Amino acid sequence: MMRSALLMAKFSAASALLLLLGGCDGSPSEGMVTITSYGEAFIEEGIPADAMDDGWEVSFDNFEVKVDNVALGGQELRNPSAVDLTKKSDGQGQELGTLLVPTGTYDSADYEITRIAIEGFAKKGSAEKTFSWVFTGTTSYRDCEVTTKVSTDKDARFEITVHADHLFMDSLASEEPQFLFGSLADADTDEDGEITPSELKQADIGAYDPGSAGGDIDNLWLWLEALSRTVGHANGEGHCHAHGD
Amino acid sequence: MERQARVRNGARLLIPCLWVASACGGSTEATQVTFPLFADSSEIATITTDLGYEIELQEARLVVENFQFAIAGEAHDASLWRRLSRPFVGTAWAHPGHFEGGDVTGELQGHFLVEWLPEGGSTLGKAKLLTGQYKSMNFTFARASEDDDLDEKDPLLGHTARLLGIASKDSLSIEFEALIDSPEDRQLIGVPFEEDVGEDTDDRLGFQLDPVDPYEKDTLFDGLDFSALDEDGDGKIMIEEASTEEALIDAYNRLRRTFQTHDHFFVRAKTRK
Repeated sequence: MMRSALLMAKFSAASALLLLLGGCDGSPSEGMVTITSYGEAFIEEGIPADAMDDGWEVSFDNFEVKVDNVALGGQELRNPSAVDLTKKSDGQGQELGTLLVPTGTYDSADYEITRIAIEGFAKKGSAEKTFSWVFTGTTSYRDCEVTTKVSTDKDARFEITVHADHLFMDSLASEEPQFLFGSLADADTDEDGEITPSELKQADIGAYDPGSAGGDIDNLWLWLEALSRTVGHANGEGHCHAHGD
Repeated sequence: MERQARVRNGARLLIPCLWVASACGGSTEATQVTFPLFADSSEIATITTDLGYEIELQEARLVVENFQFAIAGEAHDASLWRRLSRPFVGTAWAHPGHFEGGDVTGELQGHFLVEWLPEGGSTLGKAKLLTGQYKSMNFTFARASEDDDLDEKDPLLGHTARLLGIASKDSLSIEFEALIDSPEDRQLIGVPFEEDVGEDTDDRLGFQLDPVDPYEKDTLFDGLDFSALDEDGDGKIMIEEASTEEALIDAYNRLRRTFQTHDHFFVRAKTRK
């Protein structure tokens, strides 16, 4: 009896060791990571007037984001379909795909945003302006400040969070910018109610601060393009190092 | 509704770690070298703007705080601040000093009144730098106060910078004064500073204002139509944040945002005399 118990103990220990090593054939364990993109309430429900500093409220009919090359744990999700972040998601965002990643804890992730297409409108009192803008050009978001714990028993998640209010910042240098729509509204010089890229290219950026390297940003379309390259974050408020193409 | 987080400065401050080598447990110790930093006016000369105005500067003073010197950090494969800037690949790529903060391993802390004109050359302080290959410098714009030992009537009081000069074109000559006010804690990142600092490096560091960007050839005063700004025709204009006339407001905004870029500031090593 003693001998059998001893053998059982040794077998259990060996089995546990094999499990730790990742299976009977020695391969590492892997877990599933679901990759999503989420625009939070600002995109799904709109930016209310009290969240802006000049009283304009902004709503989006469409906020399509094309993500590519999501890298986490040595694995990559390539060319997922574009997603419309205005679709209600109960806080879950839109799924881009999944990755099978070796178990472990990962303290960074990378991704790219290659295209942003937005349609929406803004209101202040009786004034209303519509817009339809497309931002192309790839922005790489690297070393995102996130911790993803991958295990075999529970799916992990990595969320590419898009902060729409960044499109209305008044400074690329300040850590506490104001959020304004008025200058964009004033760019509608033909007063047809639509703010076009052509009109924005004719409008000076005024008191907006383009930052230490922004000397060539001298019209509102270039300004919006620059801001569009700041919208990407990770898991809510996690920051990433962003690089344009 | 929750306001979302902001973009942050990418510079990483390594100085506290390296100064206290024992706490960091590093196997290699960096050597600290001290350099005088002075206001170097050698690059200020009469220039011609894009609108054909010849500018002769007579006064250039700036109030700043906390110089940081950075070794090569995360070099952009395009331009600095591309996360924030439009895709102007070619010209910006040619401009040195374009690093996203980099690793700060040198500093000169404090509040400084930098005078390039009428009299430059004064030493601002002694910067402490660890040995390494430096690429850029950062500083924070500040405001002049009574603590700067200024006359109580000095027009710079309460402001960040004062530029005084004469703009000439054809037979026209206009005296201009510009008072620039930078937002609180507004940092300027990526001033070009290329120096290989070794243990035996024995230079002075000149903090320069250059009204002409030597790479893109733009001037600090491009886009300013001085004649049009002189609405009363008295040959004098004032460009400041308090301006109420639309043309002067536009001129102020244009000048301030150009002044707050790293296109017209440099740090260059000079041999000690």
